[in-house]
Amino acid sequence: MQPTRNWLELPSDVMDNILFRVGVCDILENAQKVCTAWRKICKVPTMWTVICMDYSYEYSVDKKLAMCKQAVDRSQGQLIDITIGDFGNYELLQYVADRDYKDSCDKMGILIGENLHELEHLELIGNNMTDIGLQAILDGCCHLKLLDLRMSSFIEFEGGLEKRCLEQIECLIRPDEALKGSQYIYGYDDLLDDPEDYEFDDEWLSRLERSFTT
Amino acid sequence: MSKKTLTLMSKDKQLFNIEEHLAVQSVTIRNMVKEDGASSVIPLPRVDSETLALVIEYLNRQQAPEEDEDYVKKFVDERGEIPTLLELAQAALDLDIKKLMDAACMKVADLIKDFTLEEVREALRIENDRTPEEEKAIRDEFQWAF
Repeated sequence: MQPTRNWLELPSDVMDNILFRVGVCDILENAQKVCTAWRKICKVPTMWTVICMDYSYEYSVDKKLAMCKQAVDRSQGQLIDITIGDFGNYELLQYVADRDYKDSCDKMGILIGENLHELEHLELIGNNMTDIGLQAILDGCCHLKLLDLRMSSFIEFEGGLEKRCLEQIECLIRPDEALKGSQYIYGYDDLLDDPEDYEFDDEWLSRLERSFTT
Repeated sequence: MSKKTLTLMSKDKQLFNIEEHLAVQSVTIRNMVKEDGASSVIPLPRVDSETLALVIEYLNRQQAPEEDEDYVKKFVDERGEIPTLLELAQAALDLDIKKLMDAACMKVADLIKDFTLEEVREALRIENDRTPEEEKAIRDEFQWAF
């Protein structure tokens, strides 16, 4: 055995495997602070596919809640298995569920940015997208003239994103603007009550078709 | 019929014999045997002789399949030194012996769980390569104290 071996030179598969098994609390409290290499590993979403926080008595409930949210954030939609111990509450479950919605909506934003480069008119009303998806749309859709983000309440316009929107897009309709006047929305409140109403009816489809052909 | 034997060579050029039907628990060796019969010596350039002796001991175990989980746990428990376990995990990775790899990594994870930051760095000989600015940024990012 070589006593002076630098263990950071171990194959990354070994280090990843070990850190994956260290557990949420110990990763956040310790492992990620050890060195830059470990910090990088601890930020990879696949490290957070399984979140198990069932039996630690070491931390306060508030701290465990904060750690659990941080872990869910880092999974970036790749969460497969989550175990929440007695510190869990409704708000935390809501957070996990919202995070999941946001991630899938962000993925949609990224798809739009990567594929629809010619897009000029985009309405994302009541969408759960965050700044991540918005950024991807701005990066990919250079011809966008109208962007409607009404009721997309997770958009925060952090890091100069609002300025960029205003510079790039002629007509930006903000998340907090009133819904009335949108030709595609028939009483948003009713839609929320009954998900089946969410299906677009024939009239709507034919109108959309007409708008493409003219 | 006499059982076929394979020879494995450690990075310090020591040779180890093992019966083929036991050696093929390693997916790496199994694939070699399938491809060319693996008649010659199989070199393991990243595995030292001490570690390879451990791997051979593990492969030679005579456990019933249902006792295997307990055995591999006990096997790594008895070698609770972090450097030994890390070498073992790397060897298991190279040889593709998943159970041994996972058990060794689990044991290391269990050990470092209870360590302080400094103890982890010391045990793994990792230097803290953060600048004071980075340290501050990390402290700000993780304000868990309420």
